[in-house]
Amino acid sequence: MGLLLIFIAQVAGIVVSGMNPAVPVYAYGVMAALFLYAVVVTRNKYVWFLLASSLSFVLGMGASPPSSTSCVDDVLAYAGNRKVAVSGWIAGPVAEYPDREKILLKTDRLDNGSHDGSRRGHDCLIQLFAFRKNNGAVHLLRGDYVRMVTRLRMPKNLNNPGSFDYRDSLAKKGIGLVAYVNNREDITIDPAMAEPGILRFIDGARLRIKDVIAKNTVDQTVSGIVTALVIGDQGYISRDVRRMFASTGIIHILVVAGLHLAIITHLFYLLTKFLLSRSAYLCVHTAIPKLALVMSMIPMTAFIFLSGANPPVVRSGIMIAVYGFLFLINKTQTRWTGILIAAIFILAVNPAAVYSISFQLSFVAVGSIIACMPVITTVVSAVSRRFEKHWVREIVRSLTGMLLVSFFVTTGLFGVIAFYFNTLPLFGILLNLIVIPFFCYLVLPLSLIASATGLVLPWFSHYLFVIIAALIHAIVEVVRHGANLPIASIRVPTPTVFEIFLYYGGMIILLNFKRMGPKTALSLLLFIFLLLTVDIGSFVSKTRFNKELRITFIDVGQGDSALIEFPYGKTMLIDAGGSAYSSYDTGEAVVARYLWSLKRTRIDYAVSSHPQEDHMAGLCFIIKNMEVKRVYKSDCAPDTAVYRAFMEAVNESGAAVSTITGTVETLSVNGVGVTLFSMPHEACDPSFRKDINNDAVLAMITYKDVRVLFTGDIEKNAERLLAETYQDALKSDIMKAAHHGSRTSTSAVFLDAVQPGIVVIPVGRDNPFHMPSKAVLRRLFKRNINVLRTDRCGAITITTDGKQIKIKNSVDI
Amino acid sequence: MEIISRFKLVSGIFFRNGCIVCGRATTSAVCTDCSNSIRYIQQPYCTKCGQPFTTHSGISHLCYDCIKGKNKFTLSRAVFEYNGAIVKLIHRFKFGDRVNLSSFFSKELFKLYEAHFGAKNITAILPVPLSTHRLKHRSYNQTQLLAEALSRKLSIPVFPQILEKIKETPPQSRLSAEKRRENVKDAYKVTDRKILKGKKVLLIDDVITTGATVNACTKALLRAGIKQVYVTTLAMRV
Repeated sequence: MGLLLIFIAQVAGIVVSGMNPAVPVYAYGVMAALFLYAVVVTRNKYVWFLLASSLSFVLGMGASPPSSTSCVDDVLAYAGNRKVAVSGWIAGPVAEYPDREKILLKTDRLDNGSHDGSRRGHDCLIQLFAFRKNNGAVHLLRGDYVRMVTRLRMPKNLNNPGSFDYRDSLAKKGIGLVAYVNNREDITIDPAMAEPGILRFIDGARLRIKDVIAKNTVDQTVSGIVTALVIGDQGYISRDVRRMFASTGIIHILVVAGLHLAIITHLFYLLTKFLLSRSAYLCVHTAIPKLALVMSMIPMTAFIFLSGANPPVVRSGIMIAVYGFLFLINKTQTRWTGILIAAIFILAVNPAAVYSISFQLSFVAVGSIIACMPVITTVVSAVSRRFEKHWVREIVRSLTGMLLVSFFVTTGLFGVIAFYFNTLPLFGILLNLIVIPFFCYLVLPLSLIASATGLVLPWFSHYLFVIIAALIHAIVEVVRHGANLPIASIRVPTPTVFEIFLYYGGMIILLNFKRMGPKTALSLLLFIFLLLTVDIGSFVSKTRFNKELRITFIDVGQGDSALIEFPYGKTMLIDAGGSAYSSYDTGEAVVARYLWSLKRTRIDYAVSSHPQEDHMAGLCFIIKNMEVKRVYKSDCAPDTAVYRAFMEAVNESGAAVSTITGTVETLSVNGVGVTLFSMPHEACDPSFRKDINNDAVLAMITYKDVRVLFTGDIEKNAERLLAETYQDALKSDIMKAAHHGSRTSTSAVFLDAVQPGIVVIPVGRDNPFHMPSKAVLRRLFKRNINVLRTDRCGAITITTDGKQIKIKNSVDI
Repeated sequence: MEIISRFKLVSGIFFRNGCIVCGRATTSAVCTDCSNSIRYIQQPYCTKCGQPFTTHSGISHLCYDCIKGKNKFTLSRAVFEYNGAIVKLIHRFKFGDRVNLSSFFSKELFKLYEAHFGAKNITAILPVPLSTHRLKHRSYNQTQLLAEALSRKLSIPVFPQILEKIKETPPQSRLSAEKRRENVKDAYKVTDRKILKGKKVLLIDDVITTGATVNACTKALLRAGIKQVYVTTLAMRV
């Protein structure tokens, strides 16, 4: 109770400080007075509660990460958009991926090449991405002093309603700038300036172990998984493995967390106890369980640091230490003491952890185990009592225990997982029964032994790695079969914070049903049910009974995506963004997230304007993971990776496919006319790669008096042809600028044919192609056309009842 | 002292004691729900071996076994009935490494001692030993932990190695009543006859069922010249 108050106050303090960082001075005065009063006079526990929680609130506020805006302004004012020579220290663990490294840099000096020479930076934190061409380069290490020439930039955000705020998430870690280095070898290390420290030493040890693993494993699957398990670095897990484990709901096994630490500590404890109890003298004269517990704290601490000391592992370590301490002094505390102490400690050291997903997942998971413990023990003993034989009973006991824990963790996490990942990993509940013992009792201990012996007994370690590789291949096969099952995991729309509160409120009431008494509990549950009905009803009326046409140009960065919500619930998605260069899937991370936040899981018509990454790549995820009824595509069928992936997704999903050739396809969707067409077909050769852009599918949406034209990436030639062929039929109120405002498109001829009042340009901020082009903007300006750009406005939502047009941007400009 | 008591007060506000059975917040060692399933041995019982029975009069007297002279010890008392939460606790204490439970158990033993053995002039506490093999397997002897915790409260010394189990026997708990006696026959030996000659000792065990184990120990002790053997156990099967 008391600790819970402190924890809640602390979280509140941190969250409040995120909004308004100033702590009023009188707060400290009030605190001091209260403290004095409490210490001298009161024995009243409520006064102490008040005192402790307000103290923790103020500390939570005060401990917020330093606001980095001043530093950012200063650096950008100095560096501008030019390249600068940056030097500084690496201030955090270096995350290595097969093609790049993610580095946290604390600036020391900046030099923009002007006469005033180099200048001290302001200890700015920069997130630096260095791309690697080959694996030969020396490892970078925390504490290294490095120099490079790069451009410093504000982090780019994709601004869609309710989307992940990258800039904000970096700012919460105190990072205000990002930078990219195209070739990792361009970074020079200055050994003389390196900053020594215990953390640098630990990171060095982790890197050495990583090299041992890399040297002894041939397969990327094996090395990725072992590296993730031993040093907590998931960078080398292949995308294939990651997707398999995620879709079956067991990805948690590859992320070193409390479970791993608890089991490793337990194994060490058993081993120490066994060794110590070989001596009868020690058995008689010492308390071996206590001794063994204390001794197993040492390898536990080592593993915490080895695995990178992320919040879940630290959480588990603190809980074990608290339990151990109480065990030593023969005390028992309530079930919640350990987890609350761990939470308060972690937040006191690192307040930003409250926003980290791993922190939230870890505490919700363990919290639900603790909350459900009484239920679990009751059920387990009731079930196992039915069996006569001792060993049968023990097996039944542990199996039901694990199954129930797995079930309650999944139910407990459902709110958080649905919010961040939109999945309900049902299959994981069962698969955990195999995977957890297999990884934690077999693969992880063996990997640890193999990695540790790799430094002293290389041949022994090598044999162990051979065994580990066989084990991992076996389990990956099992998971692969599981992932192919249709019900492996279910996709769910994003719940709102309100709905999550209702969910957990309901759970808490159910768990305390007995203590509350059925009357109170039932009436509270009824109340929650009512609120939920109202909430769902409002969403249903918004998505199924909407009377207006709504078109959203989703901000997918440099790419195209538009969602059309027809009246009475039907939807059309034209393109879904994507990028050829990064592994970031806009379909999953942006478009699907946006659809899910609208509680939409069905796309009636998916239109792929033309097969290029920045339009098509994102559609693959949508077609695979949403209910897509019909797919329209252009006539181009190039032999490219993205097109193959697209066709594979379409075939897998079983959606009907139509190809828009030179013909015109007209649909009427709940009173809205949709015309899909492309430029006259004889004019282009679909097999000719150059004409991919020109052959794009165009869409004309007509709702009563309002007409909206989507133009794909067509260029001048197509525009001229179209203007000649269709003439006035192209006239529309709103037009999407073709090819992101490139100067090859939006020609005067076309503009004169369409005569739009509003032109929307979907384009990425600071894109390397310098789009939209000045010439196009000038053309639009001359015609007095209203220009809306997704790089400035974020997602642009246009709502119309057929007469009036309402425009809403997700960013105010 | 004022500071310490205030510190205790405040830490008690924030760190709530948990029930040793279920972990729920409680002010005593066991929460009210769990203590409902814990039963203390109550009268009427045998005035010698402490086995409870039902009589019309409600008055304690000697039981059939004790009249027939089956029990060689002078007096035996147990704290709890061996059922409900106590089974769970003793199980954890014996097999689950929960050696910290000795502090709760020894408090209860201390109360029992004060009530029944306080005036008996006992000069030594002896735990029922485990065989070396089983001791190494479990890594501690739970009765020894009880004896040591009780000894600290009473300031009576413990002699953990006076009694020794010389025969490896299957656990009593899995045998029938007749076999138990046979099982532990001549299993115990007194290693040092001189120290405790002519003394009164207290023998400590965790669970008493038929009394076979404590009787075997008692016989060995009496043979070695000990004057009287008193027995106290945590729980008794009724």
